[in-house]
Amino acid sequence: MSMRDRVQAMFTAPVAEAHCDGPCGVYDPASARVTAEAVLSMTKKMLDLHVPEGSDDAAWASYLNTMSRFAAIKEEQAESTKHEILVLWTDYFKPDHLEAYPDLHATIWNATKLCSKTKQNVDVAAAEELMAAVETIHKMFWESKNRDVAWVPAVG
Amino acid sequence: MSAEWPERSEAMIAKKIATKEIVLWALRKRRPWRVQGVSMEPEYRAGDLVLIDPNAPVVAGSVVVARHPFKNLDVIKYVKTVDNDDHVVLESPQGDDSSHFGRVPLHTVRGTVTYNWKAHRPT
Repeated sequence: MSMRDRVQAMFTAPVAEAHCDGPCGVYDPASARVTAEAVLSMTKKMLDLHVPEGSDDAAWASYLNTMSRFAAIKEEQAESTKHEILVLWTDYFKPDHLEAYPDLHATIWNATKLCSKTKQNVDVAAAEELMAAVETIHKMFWESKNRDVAWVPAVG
Repeated sequence: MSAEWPERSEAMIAKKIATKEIVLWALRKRRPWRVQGVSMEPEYRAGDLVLIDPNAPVVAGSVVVARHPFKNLDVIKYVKTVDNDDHVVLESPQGDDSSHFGRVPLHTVRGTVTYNWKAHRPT
């Protein structure tokens, strides 16, 4: 990415939706995968962050700042994951999919509950379960479109 | 003296427009919006930063940012027609047009897009 692209990305601006307001048919569980990966990554980072030794104010301020940022990002990304999964559920999946995947509702319910669990706790196992749940949804989704799309996490 | 100068001149014009638009933005004559979604592809893609002029006249064929008539969000769309009773019909190249939410009052248009600072396009 060039400096120009970096500067472009820096500006904050309200969102102008270029989504079709009607069903445009553009769905992709990849967005849930990316946000779920962020949840897992933030959970690990929180657990890896060491409490400063002694009582140096600056060190504590820095520690608390970093820890709060990790927590805030984890919270936000878990919420996005929940939203992305729910959009697939409410907008993409149709009753005939339910015949092919009778456990669709349970899978979605379980996955979105894991989003809450990863918010409430700092739990690597839950974040990994969430990744596995998103992978299950990924498989159902692409299978229902008769396409073979590999599950490729961004973080190896 | 060659065939290449018109090309260079085009790039120069583009650069001039970009500079002018960014200066106008700094002067608060433009407001930025970030594009999200695919319905305006290929010209506008997710991550693009568009500048709008809130005072520009709304004309058919231009691109605008408008309030959605019943959702709490802003949309970016092409203007299909401007009717003489101060309503507009909006459309997207990749999606539905506004026929399903009807014509929208002109005042829901926040402004006309004057510049698209495109996000990085992976090659």
